[in-house]
Amino acid sequence: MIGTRKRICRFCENGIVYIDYKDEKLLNRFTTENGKIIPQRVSGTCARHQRMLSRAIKRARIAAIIPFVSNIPR
Amino acid sequence: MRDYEVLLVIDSGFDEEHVEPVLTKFEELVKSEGGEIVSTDNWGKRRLAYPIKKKTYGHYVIHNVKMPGTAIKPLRRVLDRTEEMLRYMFIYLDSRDLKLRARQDDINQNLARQQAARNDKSDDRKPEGEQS
Repeated sequence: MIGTRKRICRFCENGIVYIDYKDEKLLNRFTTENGKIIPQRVSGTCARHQRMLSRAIKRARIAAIIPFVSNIPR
Repeated sequence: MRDYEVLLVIDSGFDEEHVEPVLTKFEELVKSEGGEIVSTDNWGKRRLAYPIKKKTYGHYVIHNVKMPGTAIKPLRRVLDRTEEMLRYMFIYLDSRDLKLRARQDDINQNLARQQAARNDKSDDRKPEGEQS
């Protein structure tokens, strides 16, 4: 069945141990077009890395490296 | 003494002349509080993800600083009063953070080396293929 396939954490797979808030490209891959954090049930990220990731994203938002929200309908 | 990463986003205005005095001022402040700047990463002018104080560009500087935790309060007070400061952020790096960061740096370096080695190999192969 589609959707029950076991997803592998992209960070574990690539042996990443620290997620830095300054890495804009990486953080952009784990946020939606609107700037929301992609949930781990969608991205398959493990709990440990998701924690690190969300902290990095929130720091980057404060630093205006990535937006809090984008594509706001006018 | 604790390790901090300090991010400063400075309003560069129309030219970059305003940035330098703010940085020297910050450095002096850190010294007067008994800390020292270990390394500096100057990103330069960068587009902000959203406007701050109606500015769309900011000059990014990231300092790695060793200073006592008591230094933060007085530093904050001065930075809050500095008009050119768009954003600042103190990030405390504990021993675990430092360890993980160092390991990540090693991993990144290894990856870069492997990548370079792979490129060399593919370069070696090409002339052989041309000969045969």
